[in-house]
Amino acid sequence: MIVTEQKQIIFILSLAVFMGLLRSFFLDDPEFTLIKKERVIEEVVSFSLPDDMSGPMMVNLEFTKYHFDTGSAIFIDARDSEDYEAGHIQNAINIPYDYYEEYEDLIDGLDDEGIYIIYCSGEECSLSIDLADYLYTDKLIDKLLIFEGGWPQWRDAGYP
Amino acid sequence: MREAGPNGGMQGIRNMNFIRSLNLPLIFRVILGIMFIYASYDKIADPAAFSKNIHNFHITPIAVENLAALIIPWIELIIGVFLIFGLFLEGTTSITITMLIFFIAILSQAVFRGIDVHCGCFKLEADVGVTDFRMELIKRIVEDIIYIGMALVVKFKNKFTL
Repeated sequence: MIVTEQKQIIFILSLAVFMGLLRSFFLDDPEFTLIKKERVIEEVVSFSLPDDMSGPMMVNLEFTKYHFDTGSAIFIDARDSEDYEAGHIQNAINIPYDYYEEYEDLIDGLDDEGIYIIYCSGEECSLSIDLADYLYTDKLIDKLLIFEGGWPQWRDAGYP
Repeated sequence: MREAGPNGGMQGIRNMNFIRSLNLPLIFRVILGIMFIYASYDKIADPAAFSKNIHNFHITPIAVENLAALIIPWIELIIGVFLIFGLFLEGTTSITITMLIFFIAILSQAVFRGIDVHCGCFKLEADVGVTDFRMELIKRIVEDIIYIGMALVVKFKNKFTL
């Protein structure tokens, strides 16, 4: 039987779709859905934290600057060490999300009760969210805040 | 200037015979097949991580990222196996070439837009490491162009008869 090129392509693609969907049934990840939902992270609206934080929350430049000035939060830079060394928020510690396994000692030394503001390279950067998720889920740290504007916004504002 | 003597001519014929004796389409099929199977393995094992990678390229709507992360690696695996075993070669090579062109397109847009695909962030010319990640992407584009060449030899093997 001669199978045309078009039929071959349809067969291969159909098989791939079938296998992909089959694979999804064996995934042990409740957050992985076929149709991905855009993640909405709540934003802190005042300078104080809500009592019942059910996950990492977003904060803006003003909030971040306030806690920088009062020294009430610890800043974590989730970017690679090269980016960190080229410029970072003063006194921020560096835990690159891509290599966090290498920073386990530092992570284990973090105070569970502390307030942490995590940032990376701005709105398109997901490293701060990923690191916050890891610290929240695996290290049971509750007070995690994500400074969405990140280093570019902080630098452009002329802050140290 | 020294002209090629009879021995030089014989050497050329021997080289041609050697190239003819190599079954280039078969060799290229196996190379492409291994490459695709190898590339698919991690993605099939961890579609969530691959979905995040897709997100970092900023080319697809968020809603379809997980579906793409589930299906694309299986296309890679299937065409990898089919290339090695020589199954449905017409369709397989067409998909191979299309996928490679697609990969080149998305890598190129990342280079031009200055996207660091490790974090999904846009970088400026002045930012540190911008040359490194650009070079990494360009290297992958060159690799894909070579793979397209191989796939074309496989697809049009009769026209490439030496």
